[in-house]
Amino acid sequence: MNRRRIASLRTLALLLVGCQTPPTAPTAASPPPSRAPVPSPEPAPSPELSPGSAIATAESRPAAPDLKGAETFDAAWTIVRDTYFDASMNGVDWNAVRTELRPQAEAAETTEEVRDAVNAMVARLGASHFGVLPSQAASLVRGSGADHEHAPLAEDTRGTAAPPTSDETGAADSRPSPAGASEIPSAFSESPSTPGSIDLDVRLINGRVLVTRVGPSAVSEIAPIRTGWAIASVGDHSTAALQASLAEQSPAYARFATASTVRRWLEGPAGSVEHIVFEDGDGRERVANAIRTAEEGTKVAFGALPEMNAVLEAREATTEELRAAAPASGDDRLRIGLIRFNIWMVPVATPFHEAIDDYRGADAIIIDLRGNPGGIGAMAMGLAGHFCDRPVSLGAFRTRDATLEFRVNPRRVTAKGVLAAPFARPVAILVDDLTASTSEIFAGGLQAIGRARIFGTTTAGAALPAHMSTLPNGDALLHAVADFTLPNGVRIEGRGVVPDEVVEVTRQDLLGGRDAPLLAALRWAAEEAALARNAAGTAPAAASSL
Amino acid sequence: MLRTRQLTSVVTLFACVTAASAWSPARAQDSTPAKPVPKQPAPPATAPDAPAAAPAAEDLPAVADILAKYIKAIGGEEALRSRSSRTIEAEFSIPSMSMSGNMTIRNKAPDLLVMSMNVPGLGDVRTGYDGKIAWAEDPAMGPMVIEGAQLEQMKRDADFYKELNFQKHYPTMKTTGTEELEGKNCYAVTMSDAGGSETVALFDMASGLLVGMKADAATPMGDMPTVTYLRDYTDYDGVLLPQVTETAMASMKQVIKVKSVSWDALETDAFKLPPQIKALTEKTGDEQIPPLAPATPAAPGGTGSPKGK
Repeated sequence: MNRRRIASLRTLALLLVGCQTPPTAPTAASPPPSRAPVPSPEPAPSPELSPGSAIATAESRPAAPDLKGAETFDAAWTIVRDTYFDASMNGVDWNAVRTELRPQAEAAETTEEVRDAVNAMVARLGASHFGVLPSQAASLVRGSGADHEHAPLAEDTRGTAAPPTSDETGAADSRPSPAGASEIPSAFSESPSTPGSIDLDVRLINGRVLVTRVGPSAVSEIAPIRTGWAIASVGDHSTAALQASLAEQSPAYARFATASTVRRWLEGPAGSVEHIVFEDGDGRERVANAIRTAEEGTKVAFGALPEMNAVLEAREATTEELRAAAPASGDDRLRIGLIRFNIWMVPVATPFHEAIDDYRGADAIIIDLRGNPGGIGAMAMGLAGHFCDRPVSLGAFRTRDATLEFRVNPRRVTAKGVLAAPFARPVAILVDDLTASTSEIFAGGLQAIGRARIFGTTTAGAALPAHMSTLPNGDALLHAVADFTLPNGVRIEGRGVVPDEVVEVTRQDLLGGRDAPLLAALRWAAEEAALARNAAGTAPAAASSL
Repeated sequence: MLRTRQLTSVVTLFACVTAASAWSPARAQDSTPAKPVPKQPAPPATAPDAPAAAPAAEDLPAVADILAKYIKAIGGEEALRSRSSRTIEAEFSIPSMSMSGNMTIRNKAPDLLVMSMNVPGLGDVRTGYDGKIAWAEDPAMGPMVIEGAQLEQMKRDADFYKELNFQKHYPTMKTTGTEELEGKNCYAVTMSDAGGSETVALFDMASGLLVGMKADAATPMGDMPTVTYLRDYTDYDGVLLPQVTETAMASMKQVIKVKSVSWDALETDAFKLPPQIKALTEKTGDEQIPPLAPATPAAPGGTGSPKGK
């Protein structure tokens, strides 16, 4: 099996499934056809980039005796016909689609060809939250080490290659080997079967694949990796080739596909080493043998989705950050809580609640949803309740037979069961073009009701409540069943949440270690805190009784 | 019997998989788990497998007759009243999402109810009614006190003798026609609660059993049309309960399959409010809540108009 390709499917699936929320669907008055380019399973530039084909490659083995191609295609076609919120099927002649594509499924000789046919069918709707989730996805993504392509830090490679050749400068023209393994902290010496990743985040910015975040467990055997460095290659994978393959795609899809593909390249067995070539801010080549570490967080399995790791980080803004953001404020009493989590799954709910409890006395809270692809939609109502003292609606979703509201649940008790009021001070949310689905419902809803200010770049525009339905061949079909509109009537699908303050990320900022969207949010929060204190008679914001 | 309302939380979590209402019978004396009798022993008025012929509209029976036949079919009033509490262990599933879990439904006379479910990926989802307060608690949504139409729905569900109290819960009832449901000819009884919400209950003409319901289930997100199928009535110590309850809501289907039923073993303590709900209900007014942080005007937002660089 090709673990990396399966892992990419996981990434895509998360974005697609993002909004695992209640269903919905309008009919005659349905909105215009969605053309959201980002997460829709449009034809991929390479086999690696579409869900179906990804798995297809992963399963390029002798065809199963009974692929149930026609049966599976018919079931998927019927499910979509009967549940898609727009009964007019976005104006697509659904019968004609069946007539055209069913023969492909019928003639399929491999499972992946069946999936390709189904994916091609649902892609015709041009909407997000459609795609095939292979039945084996979960086990493949977290499968045995035998499936991994990445070379683990096996004993036979230790000590046999040349030692690191670079110093802090990292300048090197030779390819360092994974030597030095003995210096790897034991925590990284995981079993080859333990999933891991290099703790970096990346984005396609102005045509370059840039490191936008270096996590605390990002370890290079050669030199520290810096934000703002451009990635030239990861192992045998060239970012230039990747970008060339995406040249025909929309910019939004190219950004999404680039980031998800490169992140997939970074995944592999914990303890394995990957050779990465960078270009630093001065145009010099930098190389690193980066070590994959076990993925952090809490494992969670949900429905047909592959197992995921849910991670939440909470901290207070540092003095340095506050000075960088608002040098004029000079207020050392300022307290701003920062909460970041990677996916809307239940394991983050309690840590989020506890973080809110920690920051009840803070002047503001900033929630970082950059790169967050969504998850369980109902969590948007539960988490938004920490900031709303009334059961206001974040928006409505419409199925064919009902309209339901994403009504927040005001959170009036602490995690320990003590009566408390929802946080009432300023809230900022950071987003980017990989912020999708439930994250968009949360951010867009709080923005629309005037409860949060949004910073960053326009989100993915992929926010259709979806279901997963099992198909005759054992795969699951992810299919949108509802449309979603914000309280102000704005539709997110295909549009995204437009920040109140658009803050583009530049390479220069990254090289300088500046997180521009965060700094903008901190600046605003500091200003709001100053206004509040002035209004309250200059006294520092009093901590709540908690 | 419908197991519905209790699933509100889960409903909100997925695709609004609620049910309509929870009607459950009761009876007997011992508290040992009743052994399911693998057949449907309700004495039908006609041949068990042959759908009864649909009567002409003018021949529709009175609601009272339909209900009387139903009560008799599930064991009779005496059997129902001989029980005072019940624990149902069941398996819950949403097949289309490959999700399943265990659930426990505890119900005690006169109107105490706690339903708990453990759903992989969602954690423990609980809801209940203690005779005064209806509540729900799940990791995604947090704790909440249920009010409005949901509260009324929960009160009905919590009534241990709900099958005997149709008139109380539905002041208006009328036999409105016949329908076929899963091969069974049924009488359709349209029932309206005090708030005017309608439920159509379908009683099998042959067996007298309640085999289906159509209603708008109240959820925290609004009303959701549901259709519930009650199948495989099984004798649990003299009281018949549907072993399988399937609820279709939107494009999803949820199935509850009873694994065991035990009677008369529940103490009132089992229905105490969870700590977080208790804290919520101790509030009698906002003045009891720790003071809000100074309210800063919310960000303008909402327009979506870029203002940045």
